Amino acid sequence: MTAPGGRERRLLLIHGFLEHALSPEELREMEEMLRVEDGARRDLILASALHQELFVLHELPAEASPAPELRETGGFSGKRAPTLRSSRRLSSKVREFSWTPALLTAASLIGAVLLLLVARSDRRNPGPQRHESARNRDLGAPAPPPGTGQTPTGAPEPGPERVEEERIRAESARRLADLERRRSALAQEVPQDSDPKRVERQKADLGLLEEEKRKIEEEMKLAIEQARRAPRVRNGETVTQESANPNPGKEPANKVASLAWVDHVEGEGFILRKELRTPAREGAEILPGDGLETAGAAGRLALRFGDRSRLELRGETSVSEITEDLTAASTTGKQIQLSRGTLTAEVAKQPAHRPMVLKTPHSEATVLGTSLRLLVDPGEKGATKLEVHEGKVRFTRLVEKKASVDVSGGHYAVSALGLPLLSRPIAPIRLGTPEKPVLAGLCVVNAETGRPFLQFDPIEDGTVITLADLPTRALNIQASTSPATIGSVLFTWDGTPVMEGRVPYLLGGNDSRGKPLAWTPPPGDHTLTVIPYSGPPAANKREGTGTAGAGVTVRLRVR
Amino acid sequence: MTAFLTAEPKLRAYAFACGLSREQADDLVQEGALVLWRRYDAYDRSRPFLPWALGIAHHLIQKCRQASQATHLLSPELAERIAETCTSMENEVEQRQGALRGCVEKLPGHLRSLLALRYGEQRSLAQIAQKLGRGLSATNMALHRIRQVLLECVEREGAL
Repeated sequence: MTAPGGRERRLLLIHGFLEHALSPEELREMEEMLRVEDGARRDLILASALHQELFVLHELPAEASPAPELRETGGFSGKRAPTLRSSRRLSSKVREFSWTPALLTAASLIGAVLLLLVARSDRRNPGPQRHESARNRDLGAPAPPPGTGQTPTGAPEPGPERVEEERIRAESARRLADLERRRSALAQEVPQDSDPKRVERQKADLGLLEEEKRKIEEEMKLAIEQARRAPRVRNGETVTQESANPNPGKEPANKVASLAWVDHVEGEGFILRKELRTPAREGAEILPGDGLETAGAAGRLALRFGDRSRLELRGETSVSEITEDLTAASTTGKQIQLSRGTLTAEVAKQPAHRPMVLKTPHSEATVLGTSLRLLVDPGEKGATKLEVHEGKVRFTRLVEKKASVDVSGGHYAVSALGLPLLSRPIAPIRLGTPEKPVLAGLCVVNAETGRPFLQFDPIEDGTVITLADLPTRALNIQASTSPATIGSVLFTWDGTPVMEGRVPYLLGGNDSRGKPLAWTPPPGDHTLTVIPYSGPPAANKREGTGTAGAGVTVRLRVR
Repeated sequence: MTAFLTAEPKLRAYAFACGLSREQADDLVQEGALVLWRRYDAYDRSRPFLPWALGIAHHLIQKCRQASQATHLLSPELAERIAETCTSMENEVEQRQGALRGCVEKLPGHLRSLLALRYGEQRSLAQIAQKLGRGLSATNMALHRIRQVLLECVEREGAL
C-alpha cells in the first residue's frame, strides 16, 4: 500500500511525464515506480485516459474546427510527411455512422487525396485558414523569450490598455447584439386586439430599449476612457498616460501618480484617504497611502494595478495602507498592509528587485508573481494564513521568533503564537453528492465569533491546541461537508458518539440560531472520528442512516 | 469494427502513457487503424480485441522509438507491462468516461480557462506559462492540481 504522500508524488511525476516536463532523474524515478508498483501503472493509465478525455472534451465543434492541417516535420513513424493530423476528428465523425473497414479505407484514400489538394493550396496561400498556435507548433517555432513583447507568432503583443479596450468593446458588442434581438422580437409583436394600452406599452418598451442602447454606448466610451487613463508598468515601473506622453498638454506636471484603480465593487466598499472614508466607485484611482475597506458578508472590492495585478477584499476586511515608491532607483515595490479579513491576490510578475510585499500584524508575504489568498485574524493572539495557488511566496513570521518559509503552489502556512511555521499541502477539493456525501473539512471554531481559528482550519492529524495561545477558551469543532447540507454527521470523541442532524455540524452543539455553543476540550490526548451520512440520524442516535461517506480520524493534543 | 471504436480511446490513452505527444498519438491511431484493417484476417475473433490492438500499438511505438531515438518514451519492457495493465483496466476506464464533463464544470472558472489553454488551444506548458506570466513549474503544478482533482472526481462520479 502506498502512503497518501507517495501517491501525491507519483501523480506529480505522471502528470509531468505526460507533459514531457520531467528531468532525466525524475523520469528514472517514475520508471522505477512503474516497475515495482502495480498502483503506479494503474495511475498512469488513469491519468493518461483523463489526458485523452480532456482533449476530446475541449475539441472544437466540427463547424469551428480548423481545416485539416499538414505537418511538415517528421511524422509519427519518421517515414510519413506530410500527415493528416486531424485523424481523431475524422474518426469521431465516422463514429456517428456505422463504421466499417471499407469506410475506413475509403476515408483514408479520400484523406490522402485531400492531403495533396490541401498541401498545394497551403503552399500557394500559407497560413490564413490554419490555426495559429497549431501552425507554430507544427513548424517548431520557438516561443519568444518572456518580456520581448511578442506573441509566439512574432507579431507585436498588444499593450494591456489595448487588450482591455478590446475586451470592453467585445463585451459592449455582445450586450448591444442581445439588445437588438430583444428590440426585433418586440417590434414584431403586433398587438392582436389593437388595444391602445398595449400599443402604448409596446412603444414605451421600445423607448426603454433605445435608452438602454444609449446607456451601453456611453458606458463603453467611459470604460475605454478609464482603461486608457489607467497607469501602466513599463520595464518594471509604473507610468501614467501623462508621464508616458511627451506632450502632456494642459495636465499638471506635478500630479500624484495613481497606483491602481478600483476594478469592481459589490456591497459595502470604501476608500480610506486622509481620515476620510468614502464609498468606492469603479474606476476610482488609488493614490499612495490610501487604504481600503469592505464591510458586511456581501462586501467585495477589487483593485487593479497597472501591471494587471489584481487584489480583492471580501467580507469584513481592511487594508490600512497601499504604497509604492515609483522612483527609478527604488527597491521598494508595492506594499500592502492587511489589518484584518481576507485578501485574494493575482500578482503579475514583479521586477526581481521590487517584489510586492503583503504585510499583516503577524507576517509578511513577499511575492514576485503568483496567485494567493491571505487571511488575517487580528489581535495579538490572532493569526495570518497564507494559501498559495500558483507560484512561490516567501512567508515570514513576525510574532515570537522570526522565521521564514517558502510556500509554493498548492500549499499553505500559518503564522500564529505557539505554532511551528510550516508549508503544508492544501487538501484537494472533495466533491460529494447528496447520495454519497464527503467530509470536506474539519476545523476548530471560535464560539464567540462563530469563525474558524485560522491556525486550526483544517485540523490535521497530530494537531496541538495550546489554550493559552488562543484569545478565548470558548471553542467548538465544526465539520463541513460536500454538499454543504447532508443527512447527518457522526462525531466520535474519545469513543463517545455525538450525532448532528442539522447544519452547522458542531461537536459541541449549537443554539437555536445555529451559533456554536462554547465548549472547551479538556487537556490531554484525544481521538476524534467524523463520518458523514446521506440520511438523518438513526433512532439510537449512535449512527446515521443512508450511505456513509468516507470518514476521517484525527488525534489532538490539548494543553 | 465497433470493437475498434470502443478501443480507440484506450489506444490513445496507452499512447500517452508510453510518452507520445498529442500529435504522435493521433498519428499512432491513424497508422494503427490501417495496420489493424490490413491484418484483420489474422485476428482471432474469439479473443478480446483490445489486447490485440494494444499489441499492434506497442509495436508501432517501438518503431517510433527506434526511428526517432526519443528519450521521453518508456522502455519496451515497461510499455509492455503498461499494455497489460491497460487491458486489465478496460472496464474501469470505460466507467469513468462521461463523468469528466460534469467534473470540469464544477471547477472554478480560472481553472477551466487553464484547461482550455492546454487542451482546447493545445498550448504547451511553456506557452501557457508565458501567456499567464507565470513560471513553468508553477504552471505545471497548477495543471497537476487540476488533474488530481479531476481524477478524484471522475473516480467518485464514475463509481456511482
